[in-house]
Amino acid sequence: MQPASMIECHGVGKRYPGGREALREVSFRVGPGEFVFVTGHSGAGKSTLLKLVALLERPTSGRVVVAGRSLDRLPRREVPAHRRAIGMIFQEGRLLPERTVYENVALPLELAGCWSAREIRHRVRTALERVGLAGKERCRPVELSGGEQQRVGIARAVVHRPRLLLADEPTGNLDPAMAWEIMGLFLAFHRAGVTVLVATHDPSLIRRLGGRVLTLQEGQLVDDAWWPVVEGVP
Amino acid sequence: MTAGARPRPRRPRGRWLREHRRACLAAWSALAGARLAGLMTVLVVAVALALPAALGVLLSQTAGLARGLAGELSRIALFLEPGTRPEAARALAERVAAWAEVAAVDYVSPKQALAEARRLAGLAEPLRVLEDNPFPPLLLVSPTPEALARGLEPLARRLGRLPGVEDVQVELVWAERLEAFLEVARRVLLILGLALAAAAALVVGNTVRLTLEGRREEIAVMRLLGGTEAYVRRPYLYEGLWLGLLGAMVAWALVAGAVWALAAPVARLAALYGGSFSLRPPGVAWGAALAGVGALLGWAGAWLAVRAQLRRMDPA
Ligand SMILES: Nc1ncnc2c1ncn2[C@@H]1O[C@H](COP(=O)(O)OP(=O)(O)O)[C@@H](O)[C@H]1O
Ligand SMILES: [Mg+2]
Repeated sequence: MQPASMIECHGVGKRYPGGREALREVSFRVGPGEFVFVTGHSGAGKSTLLKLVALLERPTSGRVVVAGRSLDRLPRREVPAHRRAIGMIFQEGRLLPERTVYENVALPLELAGCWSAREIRHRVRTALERVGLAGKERCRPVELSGGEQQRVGIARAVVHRPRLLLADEPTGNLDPAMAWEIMGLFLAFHRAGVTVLVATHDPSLIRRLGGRVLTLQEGQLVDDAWWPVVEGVP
Repeated sequence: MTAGARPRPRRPRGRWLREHRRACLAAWSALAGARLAGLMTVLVVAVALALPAALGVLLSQTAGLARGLAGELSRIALFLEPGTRPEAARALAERVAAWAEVAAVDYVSPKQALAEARRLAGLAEPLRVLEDNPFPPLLLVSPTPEALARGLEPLARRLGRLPGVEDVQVELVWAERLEAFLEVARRVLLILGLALAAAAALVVGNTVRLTLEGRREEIAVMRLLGGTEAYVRRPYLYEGLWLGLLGAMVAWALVAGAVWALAAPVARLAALYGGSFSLRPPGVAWGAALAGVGALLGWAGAWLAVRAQLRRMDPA
């Protein structure tokens, strides 16, 4: 049974300790299976918004509801399970440099601790094949190109087949061709029924795909609109 | 599960064991990697545990011996009526010496008592001016160990009823002093042991904290991906356990070595006093107990260090 909405934000605000307000009175709703962009300049609060949904940070005001569950009522010990249920791609990549590609991708399954070694092997292989890294299992992240590293991060985010995928600047420092390829992966997950939220400061990326776009500006949600596909964007 | 409505996969059997084996082995290889820091910690823990352990071994093995010695020094003094003739006193001594509870009887004549008293410095002058010998004839009765163990009161009462006996005194001074001394030694050992155990736990905690410090990114990523505190903590707890366990094993070796080195001289010393006492190396059960204490201390020290650190690292 699908919940009525995958993400709901009700007047969400976030002030980091000692910092200024990163988010102010943000309210929106994302339905199950939707593909939504979050855009805005650097420092607008995109990453913060994704972190609140993944419960990597707690809001200082307002309420975040994910899959029908209000996160402010979630006790501390249930936070890990919530994080494990979500697939997250981090802006900083956050691969473990001493571990191989295989070990990095297997990590969410190890953390969940409910798969056998055989299932883990099968799932990691499948995820790596989907992102086109089948031959790189034994490499360390430093031996890979930026695009390949990004794809390892994606494989890690989807290896446990989450219903919600949060991608923070997944095409950050990639050339347009590579970025396009990565976006293709997200579209494939979206077609498989996964709810996808992509944060990007790059409007040309959005214009090539079109779709629903949430625009943040200095922590406030200033626009929630459908952007048309613009042909001929590089 | 918040975002996933699909059924969870079945939990494979032996998962718990697998998890712990992973953490335990990971901790071991981390230790093997950081050889010097680990070795120093193990040695500090070993010394901290070896000191009270060695004292404990010494105390437990010598207490029985000391009790025996103190028992030999426990005597019953029979003061005879003044003017009892030496022959009568000696006859009484022989009669008492034949009792089952009595090991030996010594007769101390008034003359001998005076000479003994004169020998003691402070009493020489005042005694010189006395015209009469103030000391009564005296029988010193040494009980057998069995009689001593049963208590000297009945024997003392029986001796008091003998004809010609004016007064009876039980000299338990040495046994009492020894018990008091042993009690003090036990307390000192307990306090020392607790303090050194705490020190061992803190040293382990500090080492584990340093390991943790070097793995901040790994820990942070595990937390971001939904690793539970218990999962993230486990390898570090095992690191503490290994450090404590290895420390205890080295401590045991130190104690055994010390006993081995002391055994021959102690036996020779005992032989000089006519005894046959020898130090025994601590047994296997004893070593197992020490290992258990070490492992527990290491685990506790790591737990304290890791808990505080992890809480600080995750805001949510
Ligand atoms: N951990 C943090 N501590 C303090 N301030 C932060 C932290 N993370 C982000 N900020 C601040 O919050 C604001 C929004 O940051 P962020 O959400 O990363 O924006 P974006 O992802 O859109 O670039 C910025 O001003 C940033 O400096
Ligand atoms: Mg950002």
